[in-house]
Amino acid sequence: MRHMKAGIAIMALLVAVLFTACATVAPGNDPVLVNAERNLNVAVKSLDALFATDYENWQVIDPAIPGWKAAVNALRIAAPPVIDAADGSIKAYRAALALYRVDPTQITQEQLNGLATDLGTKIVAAVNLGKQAMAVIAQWNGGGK
Amino acid sequence: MSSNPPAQPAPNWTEMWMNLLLALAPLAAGPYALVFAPLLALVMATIDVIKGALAQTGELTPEEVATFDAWLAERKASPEWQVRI
Repeated sequence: MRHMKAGIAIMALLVAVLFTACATVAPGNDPVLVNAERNLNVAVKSLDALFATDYENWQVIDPAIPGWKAAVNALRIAAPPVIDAADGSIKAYRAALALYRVDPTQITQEQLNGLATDLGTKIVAAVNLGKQAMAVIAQWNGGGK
Repeated sequence: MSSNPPAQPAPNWTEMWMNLLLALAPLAAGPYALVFAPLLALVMATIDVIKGALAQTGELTPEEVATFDAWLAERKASPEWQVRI
């Protein structure tokens, strides 16, 4: 039953990853910020699904999939600083955008673009980790369910 | 040979509403308070609405951001996220 739940959660995440890029942005919302929020959310949920799956099922998975433990542990080390950097970058861009909208004299468009570029770089790093997590978890079929 | 007209600066709506608020403030405290105090309250509410709309830059509300941050902190501290020996 637990395996089946894990399988359903993984499928839901895959669907979320596929549709994140296609979703629309409401008027007034900044597309850069909205896509960053969505992508970070999906990346973090993907990593969390992998870590939870490993934590609950490692006794079964470890003997069946060579290299599984090393791959999961590598992501456990790599993920937190990358996620923190992306989350911090989102906060910096959100604050700068709000300031720019209230008073465009306090921050230039170039400064805002610079923050957007930094945000994009850090979100891509987080998304790549999320994709790695999905690739690792895809090796396990949920115990045959 | 035509030349482009000089660019008009974009209106700063918050500043305009703040100016209106400042103009109304002395009247709202004087003998015409009965008339101007409700008007002042209306202007202040409008400014709050504008500020709220400007702060809503992304898809998540400040409350949702706080909820996500709390959830993330809890997950990062959970045993599932720790390196397995």
